[in-house]
Amino acid sequence: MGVKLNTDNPIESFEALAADRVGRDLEWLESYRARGQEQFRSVGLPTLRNEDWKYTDVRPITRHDYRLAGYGDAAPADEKPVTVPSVEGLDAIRLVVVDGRVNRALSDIDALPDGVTLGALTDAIRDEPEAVKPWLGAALPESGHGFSALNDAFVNDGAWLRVADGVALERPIEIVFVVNADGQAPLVQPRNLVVAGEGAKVEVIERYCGDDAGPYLSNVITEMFLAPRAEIQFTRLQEEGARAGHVGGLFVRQRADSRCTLNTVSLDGLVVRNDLRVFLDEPGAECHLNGLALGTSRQHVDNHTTVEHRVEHCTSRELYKSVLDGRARSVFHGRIIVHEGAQKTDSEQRNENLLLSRDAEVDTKPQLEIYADDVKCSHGATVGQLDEDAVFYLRSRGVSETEARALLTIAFADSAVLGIGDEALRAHVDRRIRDKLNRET
Amino acid sequence: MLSIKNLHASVAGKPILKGIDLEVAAGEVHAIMGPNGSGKSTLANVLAGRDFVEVTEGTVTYQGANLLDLEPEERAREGVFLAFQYPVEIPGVSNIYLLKAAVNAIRKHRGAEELDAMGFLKLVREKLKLVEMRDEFLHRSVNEGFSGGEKKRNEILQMAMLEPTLAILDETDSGLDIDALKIVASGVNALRSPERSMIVVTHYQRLLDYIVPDRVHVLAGGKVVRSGDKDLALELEAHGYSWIEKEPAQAAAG
Repeated sequence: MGVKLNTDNPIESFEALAADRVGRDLEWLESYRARGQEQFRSVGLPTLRNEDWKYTDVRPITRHDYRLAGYGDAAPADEKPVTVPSVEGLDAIRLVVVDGRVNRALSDIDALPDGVTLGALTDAIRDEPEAVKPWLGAALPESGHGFSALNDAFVNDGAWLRVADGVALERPIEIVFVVNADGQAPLVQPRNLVVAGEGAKVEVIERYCGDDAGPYLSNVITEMFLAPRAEIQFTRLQEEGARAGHVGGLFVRQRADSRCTLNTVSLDGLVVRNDLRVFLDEPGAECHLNGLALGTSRQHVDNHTTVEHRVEHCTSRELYKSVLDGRARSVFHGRIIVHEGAQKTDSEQRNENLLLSRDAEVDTKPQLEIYADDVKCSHGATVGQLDEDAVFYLRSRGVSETEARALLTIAFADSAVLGIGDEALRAHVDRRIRDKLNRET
Repeated sequence: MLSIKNLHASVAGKPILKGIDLEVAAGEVHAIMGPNGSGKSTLANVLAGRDFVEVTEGTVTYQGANLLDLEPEERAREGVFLAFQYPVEIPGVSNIYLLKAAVNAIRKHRGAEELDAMGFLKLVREKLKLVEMRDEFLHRSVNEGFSGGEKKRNEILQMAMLEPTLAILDETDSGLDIDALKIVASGVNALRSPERSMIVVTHYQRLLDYIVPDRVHVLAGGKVVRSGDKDLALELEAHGYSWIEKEPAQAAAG
């Protein structure tokens, strides 16, 4: 029996399904879930009337009969074999999450480097609940939207990654989320926690994949914590199935002199919403946000980002781009908030959009809110088409018009993914961009 | 090589070229001079296939075929090359990538095999010397952040790589100091050959001290008002364009 998120009452209907959730005996966890349920009841799913969702209609991804996944046995014996798509040449420590449940057999976490904990959140809650407790929900803003409340309400499994003080990992950590839609319209809600100790250094790759066979919904939240001087290089690569919805939250808290790069690449899926929020909590913290949305046909990608400069001497850099063909649509709402007392803030934000078709549409809203007086902040947004002078220049050198247009489009998109640390992953993203643009043009 | 007959062309409905006749034989270098607004750059753009210029009358025959029927990339593959007055900056596309794509597109068209990485690198290093450019230019984005002189040298580098049959240099001297001008001119001179024709469009005689033309044509009001040998350029230098404009009656003498 499925549940339509937009008409049925998901909380009541899902509760029975979630009966074998982890840590039912943990009062703090159960009350955390209860608060999520309460929140969902009060805000419900966002609609176009909600200011933060006025350009994003979620009805195409909420009208299906969803089946809440991510509970019970991780890998039932009768489970069909799962193919986990690989990135060519990527040498990473891999954790695989299938239909919302960490799958140990498909993962490669038996011999982890010293000082690294990587595994299922359910296991961590069972084995060391006190280690999880301080972090769960600690990076989320006080009031989230209905999707994030829904994730809170049914929090269960996901990735649990901890890197001890001073540990620098050589190989990246790759977390692959695979969904088998299989006509069952699963709703998967992983919650991932990444905790980097003082001076720890790690690259984390999240990949979201699924089949095109039917609708499903990934409603994900990742919380990330950087202790003083920690460095995280993070990439979220969204390659969901063609009929999938993806609502992805990424919430980051940074302490003194920590540094992170957050790459958000949205390639596939039907309706995609990313909420990214960084709290620069202590002086000297620095964050780099890069985003690319590549939309074709009727895809819709909405990126909402917020960087909060809460104290003095923090730096943020943001570059988000979108390339849209067909009737695709993208939304960018980037907020930079410089709190009172956050002097010497250094912040730059740019949003650049390339429209390849007359029917594509962009809504962009860069926003600076400054409550301090000694700061350096800039922002800007552009929406445009390919430079026809550049097209002619390339053609005059013998390059065909089709090739010239593809070349310029790829060049535009590429600059938003240069921040990806791992070379194999960057090459994979490049290939995907090329394939997608060549297919559509 | 190239035969232009009674060419009329408009930009945004406004007639710019009003009956150009020009014959360029293989191996010849022709200079097109003229005051601002005389139609020099429009002529260069017609030959390269720029679509904002509309040809309303006349013919352009290149190696026996109708040049105006060909798309810009087809013209390039057939050996027509335009060195731009204002080369475009293309962020994110490296110089070496463009050179490789261009060379191989043209080789493919001519039925030659694509150059392998080694062969290509050897060729490009050789040509870099011609325009006194360093290797690092190859890996920078096309013209991005280049100085005026570097952009023009980059045009000549492309020309050297593509080995055109007909090269059109549109105000290649504009914005160059004398050292850059000499480098560009010697690059061009090194490419002079009995099989290659060139049309050098320039406002000033200065460039023609270094690239000595076989013929000089003066454009005014969209027509060739005077043609002569290299001495015509010197005469223009001495008297200024007003000299031509005052005597429009003395039309092209051959």
